Amino acid sequence: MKTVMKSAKARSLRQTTVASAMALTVSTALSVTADLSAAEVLGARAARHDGHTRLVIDLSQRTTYTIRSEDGQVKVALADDVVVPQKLKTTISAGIVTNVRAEDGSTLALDLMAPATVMRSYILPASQAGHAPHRLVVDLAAAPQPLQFAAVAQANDATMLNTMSDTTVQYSDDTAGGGDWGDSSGSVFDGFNIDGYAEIEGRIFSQGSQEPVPPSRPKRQTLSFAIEPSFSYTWDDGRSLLAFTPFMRFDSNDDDRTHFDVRELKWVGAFDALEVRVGVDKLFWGVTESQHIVDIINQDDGLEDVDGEDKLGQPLVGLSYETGVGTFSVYAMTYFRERRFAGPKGRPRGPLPIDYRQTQYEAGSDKWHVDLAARWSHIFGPIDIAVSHFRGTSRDPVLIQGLNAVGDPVLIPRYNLIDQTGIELQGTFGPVLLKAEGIRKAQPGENQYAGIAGFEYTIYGLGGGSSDLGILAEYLWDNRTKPIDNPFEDDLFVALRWTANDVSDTTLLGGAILDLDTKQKFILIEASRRLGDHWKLSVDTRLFVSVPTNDPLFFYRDDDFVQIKLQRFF
Amino acid sequence: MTIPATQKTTPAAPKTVKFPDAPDAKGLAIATEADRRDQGFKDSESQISMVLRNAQGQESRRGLRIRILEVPESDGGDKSLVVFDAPRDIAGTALLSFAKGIEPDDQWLYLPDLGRVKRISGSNRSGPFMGSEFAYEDLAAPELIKYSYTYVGQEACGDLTCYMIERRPQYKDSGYKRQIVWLDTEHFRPAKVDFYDRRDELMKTLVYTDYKLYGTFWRAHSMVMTNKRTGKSTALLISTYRFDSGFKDADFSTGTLKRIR
Repeated sequence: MKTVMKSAKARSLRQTTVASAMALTVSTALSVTADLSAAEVLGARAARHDGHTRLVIDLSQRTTYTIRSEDGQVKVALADDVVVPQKLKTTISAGIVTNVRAEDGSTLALDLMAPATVMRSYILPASQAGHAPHRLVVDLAAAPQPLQFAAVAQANDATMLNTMSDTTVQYSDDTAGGGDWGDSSGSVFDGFNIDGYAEIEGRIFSQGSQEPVPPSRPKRQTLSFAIEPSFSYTWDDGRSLLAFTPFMRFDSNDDDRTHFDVRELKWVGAFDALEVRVGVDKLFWGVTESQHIVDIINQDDGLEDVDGEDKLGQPLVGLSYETGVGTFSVYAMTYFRERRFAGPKGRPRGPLPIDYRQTQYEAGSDKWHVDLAARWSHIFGPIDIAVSHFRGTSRDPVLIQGLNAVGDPVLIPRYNLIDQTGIELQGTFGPVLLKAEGIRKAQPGENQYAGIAGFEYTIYGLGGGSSDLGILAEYLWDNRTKPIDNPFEDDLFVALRWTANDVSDTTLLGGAILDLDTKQKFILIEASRRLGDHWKLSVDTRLFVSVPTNDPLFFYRDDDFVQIKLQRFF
Repeated sequence: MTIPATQKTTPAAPKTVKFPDAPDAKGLAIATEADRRDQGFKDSESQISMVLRNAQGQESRRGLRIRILEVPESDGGDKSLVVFDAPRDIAGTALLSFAKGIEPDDQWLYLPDLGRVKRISGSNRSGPFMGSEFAYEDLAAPELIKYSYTYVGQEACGDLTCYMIERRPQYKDSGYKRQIVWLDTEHFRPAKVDFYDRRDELMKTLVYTDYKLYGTFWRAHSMVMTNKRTGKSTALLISTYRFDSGFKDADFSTGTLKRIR
């Protein structure tokens, strides 16, 4: 829902005071005295205007009038000496007035489709150039009704074009406030906004877990709930934003998976070419689909899905400056976010529990170390390119084997200081997108080089229908010979994505990441569709197939699962 | 900005205007006049709701806000920013488009879930917009250079008279072979458009109603597209128009995409 606030700087169309709407069951009288004498009614027109009906009575001269409304009938009584022709020339286009009839003497009776209220009435003087005569304008409104779709759809004879020019001239002759220049209450992009969703997520594992944990193994069904509302306030024509987005998941099996995070708590302000942001934020860098290797600012929320696309909020300060030779951005981050992993009762998870109490940081200031990042991005016609550099605490932990306080084997996360340079490249050529990402990560021990390159080709209007089929393929490469924390060192990703483009946005995705060395296959099948206006159902399948013992995904080999997610958006 | 009182009404078609006689030249001249009358609004914003209706009468709603920057074609072409409001699962998704004459638009899509700006292909012109009966090409900026024009005739439309112009897309990936446009002779506003598919069969009809004058620019508040074959229809209803707010290129950048809510 969105509440549009009147902008303080609104250009107000100064309007003359408008008579308030009149109640209808009691006979009421509205009269205006003017100064002139005998007039003749030249004609009457009625049309729909701005959600109500506008009746315009053309007169040869100004006159006085009284409008009476009684029991659903509306009568316009003109001054006694006004001549009303017997055969009144009327043009009724649409709206609540069905006919205008001359009635004894100088009264016009309006036949109405439904009970109507008189919103306002006034006399418009003849235009100086002589195009329009004196006019008596009466605005009538019906009782509030839902949008009459049928009525709108019937207007297929262009009958509504009936000389709207007269009926839309602002009746105020005020020149200082400008003409009828549209809504003056501020940008449609400004105001308060509330977004977000609540969801219920269930996972069903096809096999029993390989990892026994006293007193029992992790279950084969899990259930969790999550909520992520988002509150924002935008002003200055969309140039300033305040946003707050908390996130909470409650897992019924795994206490470690129950977690709360502030995804966003920030102010962003744009001042011409300069943009400033302060607070907890999420910034995504990348162009590929299967893995995002350049993306570094935010820590993975390892407790969410296994695809690495959910992120923890990162406190930062950033500046971005747009020039003709690209956008230059710099960021400073602190309060490092640790990556969390599924606990003993969770699935999928690794073989040993993680002991966060022993987490090590290469940086002396631990999580308060100030990490720095810079990025340049530019668009050359169909090419989007970005080059980035990060210096600070690595978001990826090295997991070291150790012992906990009671002597059980555990894994201890260690976060080293690194320098990572990244490049992103995309070429957009009609239905073909070519993408590539590459990184060089300087770290204690072996420097890492990794790359990913691929394409996305979309067939629009499959088989002459309205659905699309996307074909995706990417090759992933990593130079590390012991890919303990990265299973994708010589892998091929292929996928088909089918979007129905129907009212419910039905989408199907089937893909696999094939390890060209170990012959391991990671298969994903995803389907989603909207239910009604507010609900969305997603079913995701993740299969770990033919996982040999030397593959880091070995610990997940029996963790095939189907995830069913039902989300309610607000 | 204020509009001096002398400019409150549309400049009327010059009484002595004579369009050339040859159908192609006349069609182009009329289309050019219609295009000329739409120039100079600088920028605009509107709030739009769409009602999708299938043949059984079931309805589905879409909501969006759009901001347009008028840019002369010599400098690149119009820029537009669309933010989707409804259905709520796509709320916050935004699309930035740079028109490129006959070439497909440059487009960037913002996915709020990931915070990702993704450059997408602008060549999907005939695909349905938000599952409605409007295709992307139906909603794109109607630049003169996109079509070739032929004058077909003149007929009454309601209380006015309309020129009938046949136009043929000159750009690739169109779903249409040709269209017939009814433009009223007084203000050159489109009243109706008939769309013919690639097999030259009547496919859809678009009706414009509820015109309102903003300064010198006419804007329709209702556009109803009816699919003649399936009986489905989409009503596009504009509730708010706002012009000349002083937007610049910086307000149409990928940075803006990420800020918009």
